Amino acid sequence: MTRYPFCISLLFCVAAALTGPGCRTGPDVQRTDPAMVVDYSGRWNDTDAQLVARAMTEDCLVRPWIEDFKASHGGQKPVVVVGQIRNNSHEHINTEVFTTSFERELLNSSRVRVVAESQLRADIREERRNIQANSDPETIKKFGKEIGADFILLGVVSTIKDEVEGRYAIYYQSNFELIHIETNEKVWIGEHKIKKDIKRKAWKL
Amino acid sequence: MSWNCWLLPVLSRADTPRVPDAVKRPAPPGCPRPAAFPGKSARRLAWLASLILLALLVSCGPDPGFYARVETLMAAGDHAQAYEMVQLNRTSYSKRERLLYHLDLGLTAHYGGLYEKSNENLEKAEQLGEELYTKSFTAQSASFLINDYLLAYRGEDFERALIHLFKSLNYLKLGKVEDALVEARQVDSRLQTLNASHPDDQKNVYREDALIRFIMGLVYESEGKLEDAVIDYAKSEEVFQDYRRHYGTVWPQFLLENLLTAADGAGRRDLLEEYQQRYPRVVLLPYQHKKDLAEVVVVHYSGRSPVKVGVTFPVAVEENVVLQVAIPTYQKQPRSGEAARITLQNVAGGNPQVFETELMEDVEAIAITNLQNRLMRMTAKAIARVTAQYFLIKTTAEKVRQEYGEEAAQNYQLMMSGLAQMISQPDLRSCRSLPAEIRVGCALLVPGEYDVQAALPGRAAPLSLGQIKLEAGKKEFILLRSLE
Repeated sequence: MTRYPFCISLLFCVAAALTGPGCRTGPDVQRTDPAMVVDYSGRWNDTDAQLVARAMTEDCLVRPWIEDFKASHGGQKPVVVVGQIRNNSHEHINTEVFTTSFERELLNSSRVRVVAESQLRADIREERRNIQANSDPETIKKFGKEIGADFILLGVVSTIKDEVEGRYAIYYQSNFELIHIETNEKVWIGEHKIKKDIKRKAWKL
Repeated sequence: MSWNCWLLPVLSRADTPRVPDAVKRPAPPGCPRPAAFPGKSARRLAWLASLILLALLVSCGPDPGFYARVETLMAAGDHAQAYEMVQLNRTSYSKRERLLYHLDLGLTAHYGGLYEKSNENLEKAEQLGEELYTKSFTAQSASFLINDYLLAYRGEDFERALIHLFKSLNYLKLGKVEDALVEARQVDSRLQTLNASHPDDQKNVYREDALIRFIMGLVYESEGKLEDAVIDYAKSEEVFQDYRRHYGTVWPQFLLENLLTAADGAGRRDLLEEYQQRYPRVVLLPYQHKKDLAEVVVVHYSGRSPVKVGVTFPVAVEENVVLQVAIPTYQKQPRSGEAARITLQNVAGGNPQVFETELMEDVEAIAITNLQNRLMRMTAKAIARVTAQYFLIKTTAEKVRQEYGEEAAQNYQLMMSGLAQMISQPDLRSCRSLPAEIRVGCALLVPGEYDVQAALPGRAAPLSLGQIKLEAGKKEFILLRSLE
């Protein structure tokens, strides 16, 4: 008689041990290389943002629009402002991550000038207004000296998702465009695609 | 701990001193058989009592008294306090009810206007739902023998889809339009994904959400994306055909008005004519006129969501052996079905504009239908569980009979059958913070500053909602919660 119940008890004891509360008391934190690819949920993450930023800047800087502009403007560098990058995807994407990288690469190339985007400009104007009222007259910065941008960068990130429970494929397409502010002429269109196949385990012990 | 109820009798046998051989041997003729399960009867009783106690400790979510207190606070309009009460009573939810905890927190925070906190919790609930796709073999096996409380609560399909609807509204209130649209897209995506995992003959009828499509239409319209607005308004109207068939909910007039106006603004003459023919009584407000007006959209969460109760039915597991099988079913809560009456008074003067909210999402009907759609899956599992328990007890009782005799076997079988009945509870967990229905009201007004008042069902005095500033072409969302 004892063997039967004992087997059942053993089975349930194992279940209890495996489903019972864990012994972890705090988070386990490790510093990792920012370039290291880490994917947990399969959602958009820093690696995707870096991939898009890198691909877009590389493509943008090798295209002839900079030289064309210089040739028609007496060798002057084009001035670029970053506009809105719309998120038309299924996920929350912080587009600022790759627009900042994009700006940095343009600046570091020394072939383009970059001016602050609209929200920053508003903040700076507020600061300039403050300076007018409170600063030493010799250090006052004048209004009306801002550099007008020649081109605006606009973009959109879209996704197509195909999903069944436990598995999904997602296709991200990022499209950036540089548009001449005066003429509406598009001088560059960049495109970057990422496709992911994400699978969840159906069972664990 | 529910499985402990099952475990303990067997564990106790292993732990207690072995029964002397003399007891095991059949009693000599004429001598009385030793008492079944030798030992003092007090000890046996204590043992049995502990089993029953442990069985009763089966985790089944926070007690109804807790929800009653939360609802009292919500009925009084004190949603922030309700949020804090849920937070303070975290231990009322077992670790298998973390999704429920975050859902309750997310919803009470949403009703209380704590939109950031609401999103944090709803995000956690959503992630938990996804993580729980990976099933624990041990928990599943144990739940097959014991009950579904052993499994972490993953949320009903409609509960998980509605997470995105609430998140979307949170983002709208936070002024994050793109994020609101991201969540809105997730509603149908989530429903499709969940539905794809069910067999063809057991699909949910709640496949798409009409309310979220209407909200998407409003957002696109206010962003000037009229083509997209038309698509979503039209989709909402289409989903309402399903709503009418399955839940008896008909589309509100303002959905059709918005659809016609957006079609006019987008230059879609074909669609405009098609819908005008289909709904000849709906008057077209040309987009050129509407864009100079502001639109107030009131989302009104009304009533209590239905609660799950157990229903039993007999099943013959063997010839002459009929057992009771219990499965959950939703029980409706008293619901007035009354509208909220909104009054907007322009501070510059003039007559006040008064309008009422109309039913757009019958959460109660969706919940009930959703559960009915998986009735076959639930019933099959419940029958299998009861049958397995019966045969397990029968087999072990036979061993007891061989070792200790008939009386002990009968005692054992009686006790274990009672215990099995006690622990074979249907899973009655559900999100109790959801409303019974979501009503929506829309009004077009000239831009300006308005005093807002709302007369809610169950409240004697109208609620003052302060002042709002309306801009031409923009939408202002007002969220209200009422419990009668």
